[in-house]
Amino acid sequence: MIAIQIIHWLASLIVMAEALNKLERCSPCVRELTMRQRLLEGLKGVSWCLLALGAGGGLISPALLQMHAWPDDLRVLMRVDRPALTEAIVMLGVAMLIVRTRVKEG
Amino acid sequence: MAEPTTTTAAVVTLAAGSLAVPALTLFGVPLGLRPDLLFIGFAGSLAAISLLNSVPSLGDTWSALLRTTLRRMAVSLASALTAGYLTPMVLLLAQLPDYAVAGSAFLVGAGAQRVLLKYMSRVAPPEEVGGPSA
Repeated sequence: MIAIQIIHWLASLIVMAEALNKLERCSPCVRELTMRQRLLEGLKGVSWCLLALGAGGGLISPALLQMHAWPDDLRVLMRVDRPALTEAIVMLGVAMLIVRTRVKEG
Repeated sequence: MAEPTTTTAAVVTLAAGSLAVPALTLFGVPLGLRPDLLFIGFAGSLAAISLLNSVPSLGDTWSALLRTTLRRMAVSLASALTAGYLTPMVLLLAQLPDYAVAGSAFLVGAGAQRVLLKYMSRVAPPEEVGGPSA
């Protein structure tokens, strides 16, 4: 496992943990919300859902490679052999934003 | 007159369909899992966590946050595995067409936690603590 894979996996772990926590706090179906608030909650939920899906793929990809999931078979779904530099950078950026927010909140 | 349900044909169709997508293996042992079903089941579990609050928070402290996060990760993983294993069976039992695979996997992933609990309690009811009341 090379450094970029380790960085991508750790960043995915942080994003996944935060996304699962944020998802629980999204409640777009509450009755008292106005249309705008409902839209905002829905967009927030979809955003964290997408981040969780991407992070889940990053977390499980090393295991899938060990389970003989051939990279060519999953080319559309995810890159299991190793993440591209751009993928790792994006995931690391999101993870750093999450850590920054947590440090800011104390 | 043709039979209303052709179970053998469904099994053959399912077997042929499962051969089309390579299953995962671990230490040379075929697990019978398809990555696409795992992914869709995972998406279903995320929807359940978000909309149904299937794994409620345990508190506001850091330790409670960590425990809740680990629990949610475990539930997501278990839901994905459940979708990976149960979706072909659901398709077979409900006689659903092939294009319902993704939707079925999503529903199984979303409902894995509650449906499994309900089904298990029906198959093997939990024993009452302290024995039957007088």
